Amino acid sequence: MNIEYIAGIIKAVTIPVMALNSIPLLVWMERRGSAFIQNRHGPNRANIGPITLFGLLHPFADAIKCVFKEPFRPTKAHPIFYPLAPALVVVPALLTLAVVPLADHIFLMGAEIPMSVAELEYGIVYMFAVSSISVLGITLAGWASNNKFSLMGGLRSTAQMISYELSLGLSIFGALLVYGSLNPNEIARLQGETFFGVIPAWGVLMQPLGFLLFLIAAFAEANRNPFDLPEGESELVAGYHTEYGGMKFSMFMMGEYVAMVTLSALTVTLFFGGWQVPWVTTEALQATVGQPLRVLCQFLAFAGKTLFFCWLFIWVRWTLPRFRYDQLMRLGWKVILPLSIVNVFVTALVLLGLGWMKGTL
Amino acid sequence: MLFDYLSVVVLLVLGLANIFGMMVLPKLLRPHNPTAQKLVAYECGENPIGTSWLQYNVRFFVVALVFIIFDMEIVFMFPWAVVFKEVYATSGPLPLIEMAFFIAVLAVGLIYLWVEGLLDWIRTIR
Amino acid sequence: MLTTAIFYVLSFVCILAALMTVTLSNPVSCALSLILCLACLAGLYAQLAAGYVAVLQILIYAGAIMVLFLFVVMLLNLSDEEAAEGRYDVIRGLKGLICFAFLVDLYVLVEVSLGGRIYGCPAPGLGSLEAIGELLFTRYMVSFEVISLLLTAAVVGVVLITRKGPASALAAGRGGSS
Repeated sequence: MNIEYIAGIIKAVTIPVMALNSIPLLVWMERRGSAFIQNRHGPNRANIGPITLFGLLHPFADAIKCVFKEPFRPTKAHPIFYPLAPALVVVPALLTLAVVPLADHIFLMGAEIPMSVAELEYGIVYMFAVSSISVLGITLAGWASNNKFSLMGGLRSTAQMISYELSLGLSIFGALLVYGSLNPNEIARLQGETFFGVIPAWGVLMQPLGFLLFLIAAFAEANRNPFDLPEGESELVAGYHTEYGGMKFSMFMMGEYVAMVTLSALTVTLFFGGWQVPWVTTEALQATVGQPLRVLCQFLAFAGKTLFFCWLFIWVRWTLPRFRYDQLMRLGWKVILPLSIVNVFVTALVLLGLGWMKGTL
Repeated sequence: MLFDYLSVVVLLVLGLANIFGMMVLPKLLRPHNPTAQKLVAYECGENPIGTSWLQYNVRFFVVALVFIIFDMEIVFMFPWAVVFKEVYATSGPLPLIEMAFFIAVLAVGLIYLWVEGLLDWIRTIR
Repeated sequence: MLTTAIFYVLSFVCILAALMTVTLSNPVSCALSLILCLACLAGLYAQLAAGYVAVLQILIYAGAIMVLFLFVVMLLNLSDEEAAEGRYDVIRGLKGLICFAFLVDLYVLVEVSLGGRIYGCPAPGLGSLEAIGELLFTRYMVSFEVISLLLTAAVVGVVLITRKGPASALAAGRGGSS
């Protein structure tokens, strides 16, 4: 058997497992972080004997609870689509992770192996395409529950997600123009240089407006506060997952958290150098510490940056109040969308000007 | 190339297996004693009246329509963004002008929607 | 060997999903079968080294257009009984006949015009994004610009259907929900 195939299977198993295992950590971060922000203690009682691990056991207790909860399907809910909807949310969320590079390519037994499940030439488009499928899951969840709150929540969520998908797509074009590639690993590699030898040439410095627009759209796309209207509990009970309980509900939660991780990873890859360790290129790092340690360093850099953005999602959630629905739509269509288009043009003109200067000088 | 797509298929299969594991296998562990009251759709404790497959506001439909139109625009911009630098080296600012025209025409569409008030969420339908 | 097996699996699921799309009675089931069909088509495109087309198939058809389909189906609000009432056997038969005619057409097309010949692999870099971009900005420049006009015409269409009038039966008599 070919080494590439073996590595491919190992990656296809470990990367989703890593993503799924980050969920308890994120849940813990969310609870303890919110407690920290609101000057509370947060959950800290779940224990195995004297071991509480600062409340880290709570997500595991939740998982056990979800497994043992009685499943139910409301009499009026659709028999097939009601259980199908959570699956349509989780599977695309896992699939989007396939193209996120965790480190630069490794060389193993004469083969060059990318450190993502699949290195696609159109990785960024692929991420958008697959994540657009999970919108269908949410629409379907709202419809199949046959509950008025669910329908409203599903509709709101769908309209919000498709509106902000546009903004999300358009806001990255400035960065794509600069990199001239859609391959995430290529994009991360292009950010390895430095400006004036001191500042890492990360996308955020070249595309500050693009980054800001992308981040806002990402918050809305993940249905997170301040854009969590689909599940605005004061008006819609729980939005599209009102009728879901136990494992099915936890699958929606998993979809949401994995989407959060994916969007953080995408932000890091596009605007914060991906797996780049600041000031050190892959070659220099590999020459100093050897390949295994190089991969570890790059992975830790990537994971650290991604976790920071996950924390940002949580931080914002517990800091800002919720938008009103008309404000949300106005922001998406009348502010972010036109600004993204302007950003693309300004970037293209600057690139043109730079090229012209290089050509004449 | 094809191998990469195969990896995606492997991931898809694993995802489906994961779903199967989460939804079907724990059935052996879960209690199952549904009652009629338990299975009523939640409506704040009242018995729901009628179906909830209601007709809803048409503006959600409008958002979906406009979304598709601008999604198309994005699709055509991806190849442009990737080749922009290379084509610039050979054929000057032509791609920028082309794309400027392309987006300008669509921007007219956006402005039309704006003027017509379809981008306002609170509105009366004319 | 593996690719052939994948091709057959994808084709089989694709055809099955397409059949389900035209035969199932619940419109939402039809829409979801269509999504499965489109996803399998995307897989077939990926096998044909047209990766960008494959991704677009998912992005535009399975993602964007199917959301619209689901919205329409939900807006029309057909219950299963109503949907079943609207289906006459004559129309069903006619549909079957048309499908069969297309099938024969396809067979003739493949067997007669291609004559069972198998064409070689596409040149490397054929379906790549660079190739598409180059063509879009040189050879198909005019068509590319016409697309923008077409999309703008669609925008005008959106404005028209939301206006009160014969075209907006959808808007009339609807509750002021959310």
